[in-house]
Amino acid sequence: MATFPTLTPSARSLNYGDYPQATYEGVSGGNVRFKFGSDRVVQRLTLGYEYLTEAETQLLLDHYEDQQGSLISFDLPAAVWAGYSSVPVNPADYEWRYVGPFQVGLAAPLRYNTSIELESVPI
Amino acid sequence: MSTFPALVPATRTFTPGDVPSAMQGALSGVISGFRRGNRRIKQTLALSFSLLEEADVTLIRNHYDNREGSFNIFFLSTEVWNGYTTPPIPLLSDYAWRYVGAPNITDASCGRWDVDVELETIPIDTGDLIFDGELAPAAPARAYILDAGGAAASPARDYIISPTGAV
Repeated sequence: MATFPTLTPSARSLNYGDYPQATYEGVSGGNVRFKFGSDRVVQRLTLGYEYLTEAETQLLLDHYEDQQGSLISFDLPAAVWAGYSSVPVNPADYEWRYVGPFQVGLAAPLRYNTSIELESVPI
Repeated sequence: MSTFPALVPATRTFTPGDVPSAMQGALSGVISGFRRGNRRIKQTLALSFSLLEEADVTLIRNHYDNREGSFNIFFLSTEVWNGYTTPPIPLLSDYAWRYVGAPNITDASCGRWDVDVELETIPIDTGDLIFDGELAPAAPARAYILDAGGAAASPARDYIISPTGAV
């Protein structure tokens, strides 16, 4: 399993996911909820990278290729969580996968921007 | 029973919801409304916290986990309604709150984070509710007791709030 490239993002946003459940609502607005699991699902992590070199951009593209796009899950390196003293999503419980392809834009001559969206996979 | 972390939000948007009803219009244009319940539903509260330290972010994350995401209910702390002399929804009332969705945690600056959460009210079943339940008897069974005082320990309650002296 290939770990995500060791690149510290310049922007980062974490949506903490929710526990799988079904909600049945009556006409009065009262509801009953049934929980189906004990791990959060659909946690989303959006990583923004700015002014990457071509080599760094290629690392991301190669990793995306190695993981066969959104198919194979992977670990995140500590660099992705830079700034946190304790990682908010326990790596012992979750891996990550790409939500879909990402776009690489031109930021400046020979510098590139990209934004990558990942989704957690309970393990 | 859990209370939301005692953090003062930077912005706060309260939507007072509506009474559940169905409207039916006649061909003449006259409209009849049918009320389906007696308490407002879909009251929402959007809270934004700015420039939180990691410890405060962890408080919100842990509370969200403790409530099992949007599954379990909780009450709000006074800090959430900071600025109101009388909160629009009393802190302990027949409305509890739950998360609508997951908190959004965004990096703000070095070692600081912005967090957005959205909550909505859940009407608590008043048949299962005792307010100021000092010395409440064991029967009938209640699921919720506010200010439980010396309420009996049996039968077990799912939620005991402010259980002063409860056994």
